[in-house]
Amino acid sequence: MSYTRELLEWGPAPFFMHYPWLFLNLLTREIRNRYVGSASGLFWLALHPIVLLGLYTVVFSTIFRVRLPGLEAEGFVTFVAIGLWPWLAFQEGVQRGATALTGNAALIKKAAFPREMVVWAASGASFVVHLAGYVLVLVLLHFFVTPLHWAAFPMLLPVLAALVLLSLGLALILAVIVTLFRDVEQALGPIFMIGFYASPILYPVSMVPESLRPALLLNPFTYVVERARDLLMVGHWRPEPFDAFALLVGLGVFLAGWWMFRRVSASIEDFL
Amino acid sequence: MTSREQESGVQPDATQVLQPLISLKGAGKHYPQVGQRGGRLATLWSMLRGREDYPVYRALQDIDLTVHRGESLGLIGENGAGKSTLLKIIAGVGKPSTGSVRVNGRIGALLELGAGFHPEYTGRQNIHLAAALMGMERQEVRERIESIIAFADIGEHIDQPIKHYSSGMVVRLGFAVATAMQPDVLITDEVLAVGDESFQKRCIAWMEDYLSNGGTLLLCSHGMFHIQKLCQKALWIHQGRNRMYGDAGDVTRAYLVYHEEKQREAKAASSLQRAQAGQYEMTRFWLEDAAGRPLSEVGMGGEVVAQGQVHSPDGRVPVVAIGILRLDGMPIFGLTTDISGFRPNPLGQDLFGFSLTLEHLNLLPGRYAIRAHAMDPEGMRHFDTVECIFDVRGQTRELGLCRLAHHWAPGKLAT
Repeated sequence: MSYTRELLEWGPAPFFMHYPWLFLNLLTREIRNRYVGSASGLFWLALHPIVLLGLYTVVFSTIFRVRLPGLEAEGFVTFVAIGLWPWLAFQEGVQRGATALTGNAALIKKAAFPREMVVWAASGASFVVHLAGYVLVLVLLHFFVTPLHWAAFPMLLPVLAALVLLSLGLALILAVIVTLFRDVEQALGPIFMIGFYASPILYPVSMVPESLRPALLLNPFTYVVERARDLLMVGHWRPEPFDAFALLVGLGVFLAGWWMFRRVSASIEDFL
Repeated sequence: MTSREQESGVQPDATQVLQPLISLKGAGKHYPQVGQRGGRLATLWSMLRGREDYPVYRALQDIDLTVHRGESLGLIGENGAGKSTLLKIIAGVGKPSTGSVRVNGRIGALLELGAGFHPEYTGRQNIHLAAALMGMERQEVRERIESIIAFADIGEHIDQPIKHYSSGMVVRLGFAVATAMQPDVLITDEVLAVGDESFQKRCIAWMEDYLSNGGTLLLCSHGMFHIQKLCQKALWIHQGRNRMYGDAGDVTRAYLVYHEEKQREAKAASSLQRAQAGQYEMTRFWLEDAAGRPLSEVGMGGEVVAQGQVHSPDGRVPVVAIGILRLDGMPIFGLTTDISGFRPNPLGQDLFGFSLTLEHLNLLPGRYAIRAHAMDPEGMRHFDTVECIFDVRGQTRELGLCRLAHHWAPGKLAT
């Protein structure tokens, strides 16, 4: 059978033709593990981001009375929500992917399949779950808070695709590093915590002092969240050159991560 | 440059049948040997650059091997010799560090039954994932899932989480999945004895059926009986290298001899301790020929003289027992001085001697051991054992251990 050829060759080219079935299996396993194992799993899954959203709204909008330029008070909820779900998908996707090798050590040591599968399944599960929640929340916001520009929605897909590629690439790189240096896993939480506040999720770039802005623009997530608001809240649906650039950067990180992973994957089980 | 290739078409054609099923050329596997983090960082850097300038542990070296279709191979060797590593690189779980591994067919690996199973999932869900991991397509799994369930004999439990299964049920499920894909080569690592008796019987029946239909087995076992029964060829791996390859019977025999000799060394060390504790002790034991010269080999039908000295702590006359055996431990002939009515003669203070002549030694050519045991004067307890090895030379096509006196004569009609 021809698929066993790729199974052993580990070559990338025909990779996607023969592994979707295995990937789908690993992905559903990952989603089930995380959320469906307990009856309340789905509840927590939806609840966590919504609680975060409510908390940020109360703290910043009600207590601090933050007023964003050109936005009504209730617009703050929508403003934060558009950035929050992609961030959670990104953060969780990278963190879960980074620990996927160590977490699936038993499987990796016993079965012949490309190891990147478990990393991508772990990252992919976070994206599937949070992006589904994202669409749901956007629809709710549209009807109950502020109307959104749905005509611009298709342009959101390449933006999210760039984010997915970036996450999958980072997850591969971090998976290798975490396998070799286990304590890096502990550092990921604080790093993402800093990343959250260093990204314009709770505030617009325009509120950031000029002197800090270049640093903020180096953060790839700045593009994702700013562009998403630009699309959904303002309705700038026309593709821009920077969109293509962002996709290329995402692809570049993805390929760099994959290349690095392949280099190491032959010996990776020796460190597990 | 290492390579791992697999060439196989959709249907087997003539060239495929002629090609070896598995072929390894100079295959080796080494593991990075890194302790502290500086070393790990340097190792990661070397791996990224594609260099190998980090310290490695060589688990397997220079393995050349060809396995043809229907020619089952047994892997033997001591624990840690590299058998499992070899199975892993053939199964594709690990990549060879040096050389190449080619597999021209579909592999079913029973390295650890049920390794990919998740306790929270039902048996059915686990079959899907395990089958996908082995490279089965969705369509194939759908077609075979009922026969897998039937073979595993799980019954209605199949839709329950496998954390409620007994360990035997999990193993049965694993075996059923691995064998459902009709592999060209089946790799097993000491898992023949799984499940209850009726399932074991079905496993063996399946295995015999598989082998008689031209299936190939790669079996790693410490049970020489299984290797001899199921495999044509055997490979003995010793400290990561090919120590011996050939006919399964020859290799397993040589391996048993090696173990016998190793055990003998261990015994020699412990008998020294016993002697120091003031017990009956075989202080000297050696073999001579009829002229009194030291002997290590003898022609068939020749004469061997076994000479020995026994120390008796209380000065009473000890009993000596002598046994002749094949090197794998098969006893051939044994006797004691009290059975024969011989009393070892005093040689000095608490020291006694004996000399046993074996005339017309009709052992067939091969290597044998002769053991002398020092026993108490009652011939009840034996305290000390010393062994000498000797070879019997000769050319004969007769079979067995020894030549019995015989002659052929014309036959007669049965009445």
